[in-house]
Amino acid sequence: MKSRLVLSIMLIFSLTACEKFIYVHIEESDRLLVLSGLINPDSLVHIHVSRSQQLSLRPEDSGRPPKRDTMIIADLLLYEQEQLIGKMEHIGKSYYSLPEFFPSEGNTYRIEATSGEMKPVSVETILLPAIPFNSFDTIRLFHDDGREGFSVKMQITDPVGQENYYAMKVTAVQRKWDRNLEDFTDEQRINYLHVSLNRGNEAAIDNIFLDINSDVYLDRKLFFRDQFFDGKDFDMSFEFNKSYFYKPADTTHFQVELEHIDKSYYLYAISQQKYRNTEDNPFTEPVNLYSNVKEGLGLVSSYSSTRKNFTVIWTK
Amino acid sequence: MTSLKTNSRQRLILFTILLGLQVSILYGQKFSISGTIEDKQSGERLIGANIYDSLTYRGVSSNNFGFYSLTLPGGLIRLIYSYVGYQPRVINLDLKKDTVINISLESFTNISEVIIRADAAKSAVRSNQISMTELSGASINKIPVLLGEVDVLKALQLLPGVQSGTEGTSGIYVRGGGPDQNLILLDGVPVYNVNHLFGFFSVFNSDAIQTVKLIKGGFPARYGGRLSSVLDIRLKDGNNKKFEVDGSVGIIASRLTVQGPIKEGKTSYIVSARRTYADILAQPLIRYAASKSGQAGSSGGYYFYDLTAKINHRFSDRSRLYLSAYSGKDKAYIHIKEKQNDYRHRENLGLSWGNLTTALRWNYVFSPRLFSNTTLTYSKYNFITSMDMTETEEYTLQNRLAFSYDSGIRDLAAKIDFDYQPAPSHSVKFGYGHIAHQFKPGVSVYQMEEEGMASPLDTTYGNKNIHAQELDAYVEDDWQIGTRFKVNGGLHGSAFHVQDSTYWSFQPRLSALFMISENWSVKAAYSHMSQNIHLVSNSTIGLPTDLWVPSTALIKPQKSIQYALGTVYDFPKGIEVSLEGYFKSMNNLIEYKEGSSFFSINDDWENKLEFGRGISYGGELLIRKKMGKTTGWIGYTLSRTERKFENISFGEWFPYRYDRRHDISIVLNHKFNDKIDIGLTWVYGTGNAVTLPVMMYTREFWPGHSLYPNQIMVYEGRNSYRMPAYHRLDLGINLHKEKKWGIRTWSFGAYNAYSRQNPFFMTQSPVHTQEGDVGILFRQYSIFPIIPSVSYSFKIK
Repeated sequence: MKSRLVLSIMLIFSLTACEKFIYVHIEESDRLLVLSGLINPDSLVHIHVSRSQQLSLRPEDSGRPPKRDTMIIADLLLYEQEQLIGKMEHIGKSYYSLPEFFPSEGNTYRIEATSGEMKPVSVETILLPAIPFNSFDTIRLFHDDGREGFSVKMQITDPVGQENYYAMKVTAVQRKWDRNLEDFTDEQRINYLHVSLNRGNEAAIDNIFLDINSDVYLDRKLFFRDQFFDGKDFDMSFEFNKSYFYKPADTTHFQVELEHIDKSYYLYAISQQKYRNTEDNPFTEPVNLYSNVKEGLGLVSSYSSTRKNFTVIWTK
Repeated sequence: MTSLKTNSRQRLILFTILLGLQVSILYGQKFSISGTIEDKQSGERLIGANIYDSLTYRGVSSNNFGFYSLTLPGGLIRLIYSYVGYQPRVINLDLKKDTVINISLESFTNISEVIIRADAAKSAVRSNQISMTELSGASINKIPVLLGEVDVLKALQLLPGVQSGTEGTSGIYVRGGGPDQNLILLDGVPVYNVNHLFGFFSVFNSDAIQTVKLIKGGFPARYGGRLSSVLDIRLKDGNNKKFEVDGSVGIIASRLTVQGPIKEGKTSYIVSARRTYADILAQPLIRYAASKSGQAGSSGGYYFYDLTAKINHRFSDRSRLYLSAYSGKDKAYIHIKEKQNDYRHRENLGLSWGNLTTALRWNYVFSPRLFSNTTLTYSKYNFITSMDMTETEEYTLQNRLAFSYDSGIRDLAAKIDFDYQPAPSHSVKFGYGHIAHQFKPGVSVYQMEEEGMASPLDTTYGNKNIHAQELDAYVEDDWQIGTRFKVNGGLHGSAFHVQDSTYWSFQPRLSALFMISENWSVKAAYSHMSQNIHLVSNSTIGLPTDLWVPSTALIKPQKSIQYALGTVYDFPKGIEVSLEGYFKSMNNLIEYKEGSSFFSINDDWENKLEFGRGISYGGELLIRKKMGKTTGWIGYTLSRTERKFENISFGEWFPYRYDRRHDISIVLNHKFNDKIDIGLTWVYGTGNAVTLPVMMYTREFWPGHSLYPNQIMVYEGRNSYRMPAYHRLDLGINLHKEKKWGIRTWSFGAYNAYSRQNPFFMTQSPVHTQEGDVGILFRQYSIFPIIPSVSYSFKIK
């Protein structure tokens, strides 16, 4: 018994004790301007500006953290339909905006940015018009196992003659549950629902852009495109159960928001999914996040929203 | 008078012509010399032994069954039978009829005075087979290795043109090809997964191996189905003269080989087994740790084993039957038991993979000029992972969740091969084969049962089995033109039928040899290859999760064209120097799409793949000493390998993961005397190509609202960074001692003797500061410092 124990320890030691860490220095690349922003007709244009960072630290610098140096001063020009609207102003925390300017659906926007000796960058996006719901119905459900829920059925008409991309977000608002009081408070709590649309089998698989056979989510939105209903009426639905809530209140207010998005936003969402899949995964090659900023990095895209609100009063 | 003289002269001329004709008829007649060549002590057939007539400069090599046939004009001949490591034999003969000569050669180890004969080492100079290296099981056993575990594939990694993958693993990458592009044959049967312990050891037990032949280019027409190499591993037949037991006890595993005659000279067998015992040794520790954490009765472990068995029976000099089988398996398992009052929790986790191959082979000599080999084979590879968790309370089921994933490949094959010697200058091989493949690209089963559930959930999903039929036919002729020029030309044809699609392929092969002198030859080759099955992999160490899939309507067969040019020179004392250059282009290569991996693969696996092309070119130098007290080789490879896929790395050419500009291997063995021999191996290689980020940036779309992750890495191109160069020295010493019962050997070794911190993999981690993440520190992990080893082996006579 004793000899087996000693042999076991020796074996484990020989197999595990040979790990060694070595610092490796990667040469620094030229810094690039990074623009981030999502333009929509309901708000002012906000663009976040930063620059890429040196990545690796020299071994001798380890334990001596360098200063954050992504903040920069930049000049940003905003164009609408090729017409200069104006120079955007720095409003703090690296955000730039143009006061009292609201974008309009159907127009193309371009932003040109320069900063010091870094390469000038530009980015363009089309603010597509919102797509109205042809119909929007909610149906209360009582499952055989006693669960209560509801089904939402919607129909839209996909615009003809162009590729269309969509994002959908569902939020639920109800009174907040206080664990200490063991009761609901008057404070409202927002839940973002992770819904999966019933779009028919064929529409669920996007073979052209997406090599992951699952829905694409970014920022709690579900992204999809009109690959299988191009130019047609499209019915979609989702179901939701009361049991989703840890403590459902008597009443829940829901909002379904359908965004008609620029293609670049869709590609960005897909690349984000791939990026997350490959992050820290030794079995995959890493991938880059999509960028539509010429000579730079980041994403400036756009969307227009259609919203529907409804309230559910739960039976029990 | 004049007319009489004229008549006499005419008669004399006529007589002379008639005599000449008679002589020329006698000497113009061709006769065959055929037979087998075997080891004198064990009766093992010798594969690739040379038979050479030094008067007509014609020769052949024995085939995979030790059979040879040489057709020569009648008259005096001087046959030299030679084989590396054996004392050559010379037979002088006046050839007047077809003759059978079965020859036994004696190993140098059994001869007190070693006589070095250059003839024995001249096979490479005379053979028109370019890009081929042969190693014997005995020479592989002498190479110092990781943890004392002798490994065939790791020995091959030391040859020029063969790259190793990740350190310590046994994957081979030949001339820029992937791991699936090697046709690995164990006694003629394809082996699909050659890895034990996640790639750190190969499945081949060197004790049972007779010869290993690696062909990297200039493929003869008889081989097909892979692009980059043929690795032909032949098992021993078993000693048919006497009973023998060999074995060894090492740090990782122990091996035992038993062989002997069932009926002397007629029937013999060999059984060889190997098993690891870490799981057995570690059990006390695991059980102790489990009981301390309230999980008494829990256990876990890992093991692998190999079992190789072969039996052969000689019905007559013309007919012989072989039956061989290999079974190997890796298994990792964890059993968890938890108990609290009336609550019981049981969980079983398992991961296993393994190969099974069997072959029934019948050799029949139709005539001294026609040899046949008929083979039936069955081969299977399976990978299974499973989890089964059960919770009970008061003996009532509360919850059960089970999952299993199963993938694999199964082949059933039949083939017949002929060796035919129609004329002195021609040696023809032809044959036909049929393989029925069954691919299982991954099936998952979920089972769930809860208390109160009306009916348990039992769902099976995944890919349907895919059946494919593969037909192969070939013909090749080894044609001796004069005394200096030799050509091997052939055609390999294949048809692959899958999912209502049939892929036809006609692959011409040509190789040529020109003897500049007795010791110096120049060779050239062209080969067109096609591959109908593919390995979908994105691991770097040969994980069992790698998936074998067939060509389908969407996935086209991989193709390659390779050109090779080389020269071989034989120096005195058995030193052989070869220099080769090659260029290889490859099409329809497959890779996972960006962002996809085994973990995302499901019933839509074909759409997860990208198709592209690749090129590889380079030069290889091999200086090898096969005979004498000091043997070994120095190999150097200068090469470049690139890939191009439309949707990877922006469609640009990028370095292949195992693109290695410089690769050097030095392998030396020295035998001081019968009691002591030492081994030394030094390797150097350019660092592996990896993809690392070159910069990062922060993304933010709205004030106070950030997306995860908000620090984004930017990658410049795939495999654009080189890890530091790899080099390592291994040392070993064997101490032999004759005992009453046989010979025992203590082997001591040191892997990575100067403890070089070679890169195994790299990681990146953000540096946290009070101001947020501002940098990345790259870490390179080295997992093998100096690793001593010791093993004890024995041979009972």
